[in-house]
Amino acid sequence: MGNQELTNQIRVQRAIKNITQEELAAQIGVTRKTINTIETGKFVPSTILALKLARFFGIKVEELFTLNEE
Amino acid sequence: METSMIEKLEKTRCNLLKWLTIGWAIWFGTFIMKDSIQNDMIIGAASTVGAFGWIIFIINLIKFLKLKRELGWDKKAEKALNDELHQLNMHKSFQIGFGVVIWTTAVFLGIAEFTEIKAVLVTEIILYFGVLSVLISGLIYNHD
Repeated sequence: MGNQELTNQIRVQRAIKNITQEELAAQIGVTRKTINTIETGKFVPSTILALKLARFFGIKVEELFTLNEE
Repeated sequence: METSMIEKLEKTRCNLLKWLTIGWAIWFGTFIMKDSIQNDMIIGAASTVGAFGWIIFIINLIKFLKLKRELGWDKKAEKALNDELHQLNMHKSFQIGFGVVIWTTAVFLGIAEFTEIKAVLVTEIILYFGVLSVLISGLIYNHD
């Protein structure tokens, strides 16, 4: 199995919505640290959290998160 | 309003964890020292330093429990602060603590093959490093 890398569009979507990590965290019900670690790829969120984020931005989970095969 | 409150609570929790670690390291460290060293002067100094450590530990433990109780009243804030990243970090910290306890026990088991060691001292050292490793790794994982 090759290396898999999960990338996300959270930073881009935040910029579109013009909200901070702190504001997004409050909307989703997590801490700013959690949003920051997801955004930087240090932490892979659960399906529930990924769905909550996608729902908040009004896009599909696959649009928000992409699995890149290396 | 809500956002800054959660951020503030998280900082408070991290700060309390930091002081709990310092308190535990000093208090229990000097406690072990008293049990293993015969020198009266060192025991006296360790007792004084240990008393400060105990005060730091107890005060911050009370504050920590108070924060936990207050969080219980605000379910939304409690949920946000104990989110999946925090739970994962806690899990990893306890995993490290468990590993440290196992390895410390193994080391003492090895030492016991060559020399006699006091069971009380061994138990204290295992407890000391077990708790300390959980607290330190918790601090590292919770660090920004």
